[in-house]
Amino acid sequence: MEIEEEALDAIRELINIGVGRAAGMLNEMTGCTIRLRVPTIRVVTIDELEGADEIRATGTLATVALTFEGPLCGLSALAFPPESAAALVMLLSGEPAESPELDALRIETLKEVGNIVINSVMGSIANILEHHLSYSLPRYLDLSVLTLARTANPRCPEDRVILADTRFTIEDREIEGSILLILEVGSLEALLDAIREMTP
Amino acid sequence: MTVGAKLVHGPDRGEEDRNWEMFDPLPVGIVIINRNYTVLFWNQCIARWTGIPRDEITGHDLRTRFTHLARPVYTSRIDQVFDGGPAAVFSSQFHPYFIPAPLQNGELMAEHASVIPFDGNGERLGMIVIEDTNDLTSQVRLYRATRQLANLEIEKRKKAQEALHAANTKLNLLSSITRHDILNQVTAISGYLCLLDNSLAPGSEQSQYVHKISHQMAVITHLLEITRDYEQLGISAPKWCDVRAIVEHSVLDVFAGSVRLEDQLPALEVYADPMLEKVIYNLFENAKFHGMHVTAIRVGFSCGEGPGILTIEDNGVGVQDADKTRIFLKGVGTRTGLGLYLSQEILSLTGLEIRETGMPGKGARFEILIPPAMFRLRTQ
Repeated sequence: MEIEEEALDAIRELINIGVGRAAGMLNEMTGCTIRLRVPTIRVVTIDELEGADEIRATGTLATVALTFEGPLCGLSALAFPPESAAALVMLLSGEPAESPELDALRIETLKEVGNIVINSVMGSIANILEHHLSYSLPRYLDLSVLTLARTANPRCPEDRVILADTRFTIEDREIEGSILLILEVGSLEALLDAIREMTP
Repeated sequence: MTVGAKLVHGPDRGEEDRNWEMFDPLPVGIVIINRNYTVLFWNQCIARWTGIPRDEITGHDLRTRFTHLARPVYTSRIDQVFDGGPAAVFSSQFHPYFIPAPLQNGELMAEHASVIPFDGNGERLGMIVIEDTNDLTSQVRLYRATRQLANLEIEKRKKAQEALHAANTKLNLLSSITRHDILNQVTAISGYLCLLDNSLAPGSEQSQYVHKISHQMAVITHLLEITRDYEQLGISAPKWCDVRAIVEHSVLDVFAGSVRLEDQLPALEVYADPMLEKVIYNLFENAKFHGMHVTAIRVGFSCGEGPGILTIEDNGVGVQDADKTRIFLKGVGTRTGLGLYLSQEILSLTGLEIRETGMPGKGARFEILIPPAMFRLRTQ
């Protein structure tokens, strides 16, 4: 399915609005100067994820994810390489970077950070749909993005994934992560329709 | 669980309230609020934790009682939930006291809070779930403190190791210079002894003394050479050593093709001090000097349940029963008395042992016992 550049731009803008709001909340919450940006965005099939340069598709990632239902169905996730996740949590919490590992407290903290980013992005998207979505509680998962995507909907490898490369800049340190929106069949079309309706 | 679906149903608030009481026995704090932050339900657990009875807070604005919740850092996210967003989670890292609950020791309980939306009879409500993370927090902090102590200890040991290494390097340098100077003096003495011997009548008593002194000088020289050979003992880290390569090289070096090597070794590697080569070399030298008429060397390896056994045998005169243990003692031997003693020390660095099990008169047989973790067989 071909996606016109304007629609992709609109998705990028929606995600940027979301991450901008998330950055504001994180700034306020942690007192750190945090910049969040999404330099690239792509729409791929689940099978194409494996070859995507933006993400370590097969390596285990520290992931916060939630599922959603309604006019759009799918899964939304924020994923980091484990060492980046630990570094992010330590920077945000001001802990000394002595032991870069994800223990239970850091996982809980990462879950909150993921929750803030995902909620803001989903809020942006839900706004243009003009319908509420139903969400699961956010979960922390240690698994590869491919496993996550295939678990989200094992029957449909043709489901689409909006893959947004995400950069957190905190105190001059840049941490890379990815926002993934795994959309079940028909959901991407529903999103694109909503975007087209909004476009003058 | 997908939230947004109805958790409670009922025609009026009274029935809902009755349904909400099912949350009373839960071991987590449950607070139900509407979008004005008015408390609609306060379960027994949160009442117990906070010391605030249900009647006292129900119907009041949660932000009035807990003023920190009026800050945008909370309201912006909670409002997002009421505006149709997903549940919001508040970690104990950033919000340890979402609803402050004093403990008996005067501290506050560490909490993890979630604000979950649900449909309360057509009205979007928020369920605040408070979990006690005090034990988890304490355990993780204890673990972190322990790990930090361990890291400090490692760092301390590393520094001590570096200091030892530096001291050892200096001592080796000193012993090397001293050895060199002594050898120079020994050479000079040997030269004068030679001149003295030439001036004496052959076979005279004085000449015999000179020969004895010369012999003792040769022993001193050999002892100094041993200190040079073994000064690296324990300096380098153990490594996996290819036994066949060492055997072939050492046999050639010691016997220069004058013996038959019966190699029955598998592709064996032993985790040992790099001076293992010196140990094997020393065994062949012993075979050459003490075996008298050695024409064959046999090397083999066997392993079963216990340690692996590397055997090095010759067909010389062998070792008398009375000497089988003594030969490993310091100072025992017809040369310097250090060879087998030091070999034993080198092997012991990685838990290897050596013993002599040959038949006197039929040849010496040395067995090196190797713990299972210290050997491996390569696939050929």
